This record gives sequence, C-alpha cells and structure tokens, in this order.
Amino acid sequence: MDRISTTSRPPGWRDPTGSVSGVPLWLEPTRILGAGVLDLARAGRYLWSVFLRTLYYTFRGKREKGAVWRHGLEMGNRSVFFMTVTMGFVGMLFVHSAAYQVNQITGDLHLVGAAYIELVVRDLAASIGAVVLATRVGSGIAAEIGSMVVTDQVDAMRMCGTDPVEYLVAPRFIASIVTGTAVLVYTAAVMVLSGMLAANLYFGVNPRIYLNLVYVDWHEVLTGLVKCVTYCAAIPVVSGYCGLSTFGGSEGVGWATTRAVVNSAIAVILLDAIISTSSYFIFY
Amino acid sequence: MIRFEHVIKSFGPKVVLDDVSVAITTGEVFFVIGQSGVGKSVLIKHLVGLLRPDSGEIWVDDTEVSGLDERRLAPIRKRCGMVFQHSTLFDSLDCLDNVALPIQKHRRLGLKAARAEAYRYLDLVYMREFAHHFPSSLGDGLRKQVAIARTLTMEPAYVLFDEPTTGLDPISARRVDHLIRELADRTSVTCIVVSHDLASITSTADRIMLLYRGRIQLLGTQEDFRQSKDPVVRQFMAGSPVGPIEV
Repeated sequence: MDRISTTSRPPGWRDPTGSVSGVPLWLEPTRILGAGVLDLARAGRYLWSVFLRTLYYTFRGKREKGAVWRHGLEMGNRSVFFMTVTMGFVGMLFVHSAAYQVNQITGDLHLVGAAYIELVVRDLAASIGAVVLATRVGSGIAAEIGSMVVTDQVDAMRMCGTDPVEYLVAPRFIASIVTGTAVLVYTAAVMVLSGMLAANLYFGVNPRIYLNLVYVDWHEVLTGLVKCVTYCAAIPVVSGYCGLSTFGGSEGVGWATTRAVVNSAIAVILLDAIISTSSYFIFY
Repeated sequence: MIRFEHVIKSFGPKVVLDDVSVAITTGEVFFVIGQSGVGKSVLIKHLVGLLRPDSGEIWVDDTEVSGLDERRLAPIRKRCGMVFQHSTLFDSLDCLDNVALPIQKHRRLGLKAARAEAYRYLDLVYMREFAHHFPSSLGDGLRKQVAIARTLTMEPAYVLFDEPTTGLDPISARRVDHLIRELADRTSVTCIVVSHDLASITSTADRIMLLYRGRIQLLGTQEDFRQSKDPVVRQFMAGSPVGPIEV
C-alpha cells in the first residue's frame, strides 16, 4: 500500500480544501487545540524532568570548579545596581500612590508605613523583585544555554555521557538560591527605605513614624523568605528548561530568551498564589 | 553495520528525511552529501539518539536505537563517537581536560589516570604540544583535531563527522581529511562523514550518498558519481548554480 501521511508530502503542499495539515477544514480548530494541549503536556513533562534532575545533581552531581561562585557573582552581585534602581522607584511609587489615596480618604498617614512594610516583607519584595530579577537572570541563563544548544555543545555533552542539567542548570540553581535570595532580601530593604523617602518628601511623614513594624510578625517574615527561596529556585529551572529546548539558530536563542522571561514571570505569579494561599490557611 | 530503514523525520510541516533507507558496512568511509539544510546532520544525529525519527528504524549492529532512552543510549554513544561541526570543545577546560572528560565519564577513571590516557589520544592527532592550550587560543583546524581526539577516547567502532572541514582553510581541511582516512585505514573504524566539500569527498570517500529533498538521489562509489547522468548529481558535482537544485 502506498504510504500516505502528512509528513511524506512535498514542502509547500496544500490540501484542496485549504487545510495545510490534511485534516478536514471543519476539524482544524480541534486539531490545533489538541496539538496545543499535547505540546503543553510535553513541555510540562520536560520541565518536571529538568526540575527533578536539577534536584538530584544539586546533591549528587559533580560541578566544574568555581562554577557556583561564578554564577553567584553574575546573578547576585551584578544584579544589585539594577535591582536597587528598579525596586527603589517601585517602592517610591507604591508609597506615593498609597499615601495619596489614604490622604484623600482619612488624612491620617501614621499607619501607611506599617501596612506597607508588612506588604513588602510578606509579598512585594519577593514577588515583584523576582519578576524583575527574572528579566536579567532568566534571560541570561536561557541565552547562554540556548547558544550552547544551537552550536551543538549540549549534544557534545550528552555524547560525553554527561547530563547537561548537571553542568548547566544545577550550579545556577544553587547560585540563584543563595545569591538571589540575598538580593531579594536586600530589595525589601531598598523598597522600605525608598518608600520612607517618598512618604517624607511628598507627605511629610516622619521616618520614625513610618518605620513601624507593628504588623510584621514572624510568619510574615517566614512567608516572605519561603517565597524568596522558591522563586530563586524556579527562575534557573524554568530558564534552563527554555534554554535546553532551544531550536533553530540565533532566532531560536532569541525566542528561548523571551520564553525564559515570560515563563519565569508566570512561574513566580503561580507560586505566589500557591504560597500565599497556603500561608493564609496555615497562619490565619 | 549501521542500517537506516524507512526513516521519516519532519520539523513542523517541513519534511527533512522522507523514507531514507541505507546500510553502511563496517570499515568504510561513507560520505553523506547534499546542499545545506537537506537533512545530512539530522540523519547522523538519529544514529546516536540526539534526534528521534517520526517513523522508521535505525540499527547500530544488532540494536534498534530509535526507541532507547538516555540511559540505554550510553553504550551506543560509546560505540558511535561524533565530531560536531563547531568542534564543541568546552571553553573552560584546556585541551587535555577536554579529552580527559569523556574518559572520566565513560570509563569511570580518576582525573589523573584520565589525563594520562588523554595524552595518548592527543598524540594520535598530533596535538600533544597543545595539551595545555585553551580552545579559544587555537585555530579552527586545531580545535577540530582536539575534538577528533576527544571522540576517539571512547574507542568507537563508528565515528560520525558533521561537516568536519567546513570553515577550515584548505591546508587544515586536508589535514582533517587525512586524519579521517588514516583512522579508517589504521583502525578499521567506520567513518560516516557529512560534508559538501568536494575536495574531501574525492580524496577520502569509499561510498557516497547524495540527499536531495529528503530522499536518496544517488548512492554509490566515487566512480558511480562521476559517471552519473542524473542532473541533480551533475549539478552538485559541478558546483553549478544552474540546475534542478534550487539555491
């Protein structure tokens, strides 16, 4: 029997009905939806596999000498200026907007600082900071690994009997957890201080009144820290996955970089929802 | 022996390999040629499980490799070494450690023993004096020779070369051709070479397979190619921009 399949048709082949896949036109939306779901499932399975292997090699793998230190320096130290500027302005904007609203409604600003610091410690510094950090760290990871994929270096590793996750993702994972968490904690301080500056400059709030820790309990600090560590663990895994699934040439690397930032941001938001909900049920 | 049986591979709507069947016998230097993007590299990557076919079978000796997972591919990858187009040496390691890495991984030797072994393989490709150079300080030709040494560490029965002479100056290219020929003649290793370098083909190949639009256009010896009246073969061998092959 003659083998007829969509794959054996010449490039540029078009179905007379207008379908390019060989599926009847009226079934095309179902085919596209089905293909999308299958792609998503495959991607999810691969991401999960990258995560499990990263965990395994974090405890069992061999690492190139100085790799964790090098990546830590890149992710942590070199992110400080970027994070200070962006999160400093974000902090000022938040406090300005909040104080402006409160001022219009009650005119009493003495608890603005207390409420804002609680929010920063529990959520804002970790969540917004992680999204901002992902734009720098995630894109860098995906671009570096993606370039190695398109120049066959990752395939060469596999041929040498080495799992690329061991050499490329695991060291970044450890570095990100340590230095990324430190950067996010530092970011919280920057947001609080920049907010204090805005409150004082625009609304004349005394810094001693602003720096009120009455709403910050140990479980707020714990929730904030858990978020910092979890996000900093998620960014290199998601970005590493995007880099490893790069396909094509330099265009593919560009797409991998974009996907790394977008997917890391989505991961942070999803994890935020999960951790916030869990902490609510545990502590309140 | 290596056998591809009715192998089909597509990337999205693009059919790259369309029902490719070929057998490669032990000890020969087998060239896969064709214009860029025709699927030559894709074909050999299937052999070591770096890509999986949509359908068809790939046999390395008595093992069908298309369905194997990473763990079970390890012995196949030991048997089939691969020299990549871009040399793919690790920039953070010097040449000696680049060659020692697969020895450590595959033979489970310590670093000291692996380095001692690595010198032996650098000797084979006349690169001992560059052992402590980093890849970034070497030219393309020398990097390729180190990559060949790294591949030989696994003592493969088959070596796959992905465009080994692309981007090299003529002298380095002929040196690599000479190494491939020497490898086949001295060690009876089967060499599968993906190339579109006519000088390499005429100086090194035992048999040649021309891929065109995902299918085998001609499979034969150098003499078969020279005598072929097929317009696609004629155009490729002449390197002419005019003919059925679209540039």
